[in-house]
Amino acid sequence: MDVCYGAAPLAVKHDLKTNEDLDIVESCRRDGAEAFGLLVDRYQNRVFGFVKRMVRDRDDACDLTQEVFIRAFQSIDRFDGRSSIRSWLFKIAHNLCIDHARRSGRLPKIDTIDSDQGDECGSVELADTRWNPEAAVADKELMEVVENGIREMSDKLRPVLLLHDREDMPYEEIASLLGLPMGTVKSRLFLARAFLHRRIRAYLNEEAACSEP
Amino acid sequence: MSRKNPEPEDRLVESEESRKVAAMVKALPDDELSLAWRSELNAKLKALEKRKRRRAGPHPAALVGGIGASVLAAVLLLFAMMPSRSGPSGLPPSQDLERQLLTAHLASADPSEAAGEGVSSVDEAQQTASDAQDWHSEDLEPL
Repeated sequence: MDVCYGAAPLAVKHDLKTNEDLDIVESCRRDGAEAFGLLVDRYQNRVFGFVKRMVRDRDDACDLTQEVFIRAFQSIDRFDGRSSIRSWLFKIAHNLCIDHARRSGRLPKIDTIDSDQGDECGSVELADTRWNPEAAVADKELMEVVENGIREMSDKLRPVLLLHDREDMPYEEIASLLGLPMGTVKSRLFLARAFLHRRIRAYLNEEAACSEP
Repeated sequence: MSRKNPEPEDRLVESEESRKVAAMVKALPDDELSLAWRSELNAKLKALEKRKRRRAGPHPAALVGGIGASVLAAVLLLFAMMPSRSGPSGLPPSQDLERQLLTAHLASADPSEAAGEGVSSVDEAQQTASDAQDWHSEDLEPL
């Protein structure tokens, strides 16, 4: 579980991947679109997953994901290797999602979690087997609750949650990508999870109430 | 995070409940993109690449190669246009002169001079006309 929080093994894995990514960047500069395809192969579904959960509409997400790779291809000569390819691509994706939200007139949601609500996290019934993520995968309704929760949470919390919990990005990388202090990244991550926790608990309680004779 | 009892952010994020939520988010299924989406992207990238190359102009290696080929062609043309040291027939100059003299002599010489005495031009003409057909039986007798 500590792996999620930027511990050493994850950092080492990240470095190895950075070297592979740099090799791909060099190939792209030399061989063009064909070599760039390797980068697309590696990241297309991950970028799409991020974009889809940021913009909500699937068709818009498909178009924006293409735009991410087109922008990346156009500016690959300027990639200097200071960040990882992954950070670079997700930064492009995040910026495009923000632009999309502005264009569609969607104002960023304010935080819906009050600071006091975080204390309620302590009342979770750990005995409920559906809290087991492996079992939860089989529960499509529960997965839908989680997806809806991500969709409805604050625009400020969502990217932090997705980058950390889906992409296993360490705090430092997220802070650099989003231009936030590390403390802010951690607090937003906690708030995002607390928001989801409330949604999941409400669903489970409702389910339990319905199943009672 | 309560304002009354502030807790370190790490402890909050690393709590059991928070980590369970993280695991559920991690377990969400991936949505894959279609082949049609990929083909469309590939086409756009190829078009971009063409535009990039057109804007960049010819490759430096191609420029150098073109200049080299032009220089080589010019040198070959120069050699081809230079006058030859040999005669018109391609023979060394002394042999060519002899040939010219011989040709001139043959053109000017009378056939009778070449044939020697006893054969006049009239005789020669007559002999030529009746060549192999006119022979006499006495020609067959042993000498």
